[in-house]
Amino acid sequence: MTATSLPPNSAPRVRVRANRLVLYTVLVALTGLFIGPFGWLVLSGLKTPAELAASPVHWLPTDFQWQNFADAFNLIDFLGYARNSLIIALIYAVLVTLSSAWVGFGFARLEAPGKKTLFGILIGSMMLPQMITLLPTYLIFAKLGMVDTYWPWVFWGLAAAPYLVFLFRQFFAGLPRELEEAAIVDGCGYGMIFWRIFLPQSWPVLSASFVIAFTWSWGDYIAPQLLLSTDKSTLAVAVMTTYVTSAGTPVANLQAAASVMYVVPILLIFLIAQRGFVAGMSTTGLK
Amino acid sequence: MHPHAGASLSRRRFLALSAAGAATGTAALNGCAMRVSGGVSGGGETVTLMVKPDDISPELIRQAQKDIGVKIVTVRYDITKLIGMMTNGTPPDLVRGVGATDAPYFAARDVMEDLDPYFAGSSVLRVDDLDPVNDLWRFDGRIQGKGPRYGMAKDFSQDSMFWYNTALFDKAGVDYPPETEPVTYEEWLENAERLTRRKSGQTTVFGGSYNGVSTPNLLASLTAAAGGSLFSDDFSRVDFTTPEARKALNWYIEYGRARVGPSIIQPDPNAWDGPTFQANRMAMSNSGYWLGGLINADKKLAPLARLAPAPMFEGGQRVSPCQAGTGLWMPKKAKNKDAAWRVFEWFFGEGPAKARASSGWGIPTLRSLRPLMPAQEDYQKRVLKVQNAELKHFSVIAYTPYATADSLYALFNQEAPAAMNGRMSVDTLAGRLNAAMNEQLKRGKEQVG
Amino acid sequence: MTVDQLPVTGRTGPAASAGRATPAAQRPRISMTARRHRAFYLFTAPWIIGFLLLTIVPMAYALWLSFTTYDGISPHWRYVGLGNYTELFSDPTTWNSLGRTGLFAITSVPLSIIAGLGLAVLVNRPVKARGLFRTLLYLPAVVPPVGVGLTFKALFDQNSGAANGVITLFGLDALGWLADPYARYVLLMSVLWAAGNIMIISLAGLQDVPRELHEAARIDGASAWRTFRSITVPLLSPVLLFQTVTGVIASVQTIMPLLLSPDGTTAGVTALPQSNYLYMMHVFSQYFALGRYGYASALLWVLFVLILIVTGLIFKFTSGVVFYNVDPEAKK
Repeated sequence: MTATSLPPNSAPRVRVRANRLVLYTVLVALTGLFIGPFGWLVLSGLKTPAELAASPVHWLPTDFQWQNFADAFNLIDFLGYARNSLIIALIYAVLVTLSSAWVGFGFARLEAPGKKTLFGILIGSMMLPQMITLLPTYLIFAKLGMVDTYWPWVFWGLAAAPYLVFLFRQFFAGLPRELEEAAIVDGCGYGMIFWRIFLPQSWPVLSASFVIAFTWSWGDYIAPQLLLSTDKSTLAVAVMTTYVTSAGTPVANLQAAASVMYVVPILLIFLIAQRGFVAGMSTTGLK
Repeated sequence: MHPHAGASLSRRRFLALSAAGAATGTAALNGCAMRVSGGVSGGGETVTLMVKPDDISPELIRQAQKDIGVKIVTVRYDITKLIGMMTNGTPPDLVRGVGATDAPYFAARDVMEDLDPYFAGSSVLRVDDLDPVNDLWRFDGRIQGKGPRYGMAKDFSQDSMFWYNTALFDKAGVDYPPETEPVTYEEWLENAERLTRRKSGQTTVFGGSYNGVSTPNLLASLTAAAGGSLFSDDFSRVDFTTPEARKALNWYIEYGRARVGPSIIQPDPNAWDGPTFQANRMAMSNSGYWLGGLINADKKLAPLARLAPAPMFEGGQRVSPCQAGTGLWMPKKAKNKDAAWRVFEWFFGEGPAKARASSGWGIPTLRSLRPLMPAQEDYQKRVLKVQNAELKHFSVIAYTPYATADSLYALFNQEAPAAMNGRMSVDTLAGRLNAAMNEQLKRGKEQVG
Repeated sequence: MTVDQLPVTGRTGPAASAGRATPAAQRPRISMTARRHRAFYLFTAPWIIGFLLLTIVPMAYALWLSFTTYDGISPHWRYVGLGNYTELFSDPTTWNSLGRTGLFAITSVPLSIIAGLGLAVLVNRPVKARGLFRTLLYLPAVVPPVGVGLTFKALFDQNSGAANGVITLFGLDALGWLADPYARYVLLMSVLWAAGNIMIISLAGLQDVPRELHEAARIDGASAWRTFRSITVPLLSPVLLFQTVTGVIASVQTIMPLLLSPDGTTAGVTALPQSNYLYMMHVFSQYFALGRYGYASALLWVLFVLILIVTGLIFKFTSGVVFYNVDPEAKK
């Protein structure tokens, strides 16, 4: 087939091909734009402090300082902080996912006087500026003797999170009514219905909730800074504050390298849980 | 090794100074004639320190266990947490603080332990061995610099001094400042403008950076250099409209307008001058002796960098204060005061103090430790000569007990950008600063009672 | 409520118990409704208890603080009644920062929804390596705020950053991104960087759009844009509403200006460019820099009430517009 012997529908096909080219170009450009900042962080972590402060900008390091990553890793007890972060994030993410599913089930499938009001309060509490609770929260946990322990995260986990409750409520509300009716007739309690029937159905929301909660906890530096001593504190706190000289001034290249290593686990978790996560997030589109 | 081994090594070294260096420093200095502690041994006690990571490293914490048998637990310095701990009746045993500004603030609120009795009984920290900079940690109920001691500085610098890069001066054909005589602030700014290099909207070379440790302290110091005082006698008010304060304010706003260095309207994302100076992009940096810690570790930069005396105003007076004097204080309600004092002595007078003194990141706060300051290389000797001459001009510029440095800094930064951008006159700014800051000071005075 | 209200009386008659004489069925059963009521409170109890302890108590504490001059340390604080509230309403800084926050919300929320929706439509096309594109576009949304702050500061440094590097390549003058008046755009971009979040949620919605609807529209000769506007958007409207509400809340409460300041911690609130001095930053400044816990608490309470009102208004004005595919309340 040559250009001269194109069939009658060739014009649309050329257009389709041109469209595809535009589409791919746009996609690649956008992806570049979205990944670019992260790439710049990686490059920043590979420079010397002087090169990082060079002007005009040095796009690529003249000599890749790979040992920055090793230094960032060794200068602080990186693994120790990562372990603390992991423990706290796991405690919180597992508990809050289960408790939010539990509460969400209540809001989705059960009725009682005051439900509407309670749901309104739940949504309203999403709007609360968290900072309002900083000092009193410290005092409450101090009175309970739980400062410098991981107990606060257990309690936060058990107390469910409004956003996640909402997510589960949306999901459970969309499931067919017959699901529990049969079980009720069989004499199952609601606890059993939740555990045996609803929870196994909800793996997409479970994984979405887990990823979201894990990310919150991994990213939070205010609560750990407030409640934990240095050794028990988390990676987020360490990355923010520990890469300093003897005068307390920041060492930007090591901080960049550490930030990369700090972000990567979150990216990995997301990649692993990706499919369920995407499916789970779709439920916010219900009501 | 690869060609950048030197750079890598120096970077490692300067990091090591903050992390591991202190321990090795102690070992290296065993021969030094230091008094052995006569204090009580800690006896396996635990002491809680609220500090920042640069105050004490994990290695030092292990060293403390070995040296004095006290287990140190640290919590990160955080004002909300400190308030929470104090409100709960369980304050840390020692807290980091900036002597120049925190000492009068906390002392006036009666939350600090008077350390005079402890000093009186100490053979490690003898009062006659204390450098005058430690007077920043004294407060007599009205004025800083006199009265009981509430804490001690771990090291210090005279923060109105500046470093300069001779290579950049040569390139711009600007004469070096004299070594022991101060330039005037006007000359400094003029030089900075001549040294600044710009290209397509970017500043490739900053002529000079001059921001002090924190702006309120800087303005108080500049006013003192002009021969006046920013605060009223009872420290309950500021006045930017006196001729001296007006001059100081005007100079700093001019500095911002000239855009020769970082300022609130031209922020430095590094938050300090070090990296820019190291990149040969800053001809003058208003940093005290401590910046030498960074410079000494950079073998290419060190021979080019020199320290100069604090500038003065024409017709003003020569003052060279310390604007930080960071150290530790002991809360009045601390549970473990004896062990805390043992840590205090060890931290300020024994191994850690010696390691800090030899690191070059500040001047030791005990006179007896001065011989440890680095003076092997020629450039170190030159810097030391300038620094030693400058010590004669040290004085405490008292700060108000009624407002934190942060509060006045925040208020300044809300008003000053308009003036630096040329949208507000300095006189209007002076009036506005008076109004905003005096209101904050009034609130503070009312609360102190 | 229909099924719940059916009178489920204890059917203990011989006919009813035929073959199912379990112990549970034999004891005088409380009504089905009561059982559901009890179960509801049992299920929501963890949240209710947690809410009372970890939210209401601190909120009440903050409310009490807002009537005082407490600064955390000083011994001589006192009650000022509504003094803090009257002061904040007469403080121009409150209004200016509130205005900036409003502006930030009404720019950042629609822009990120448009960006997210646009991305969703793009990656919903049958292209090669679609999964890879989706993943890469989404990844920035999981970067913790701390990482975002550090990244954007490195990117937008006036003299050494990549953004100005690109600008000067085109022969243009570099901009002082992190200072006034450009800092607001950096803040906006840091929000848009997480548009992948909305992309993922919208994508799920897009895939739910019944194919027949699109085909029917095409047969009717509707243009792609019209199909998108008349079919896709209405079907996505609950997602978009949810995103609007959470977006407004997030933009009002964002601490990103702090993370973009040179200091990068709460101390950074002392040196913010004016254009990023949002309401929340005003609160932080009063709280952390000026130590005015009482005044800051009053500001927070006012903010809370304001968000409630704004959210209420959003729900009210969208109630007729938003199309619900599944309405869990309308069960039969």
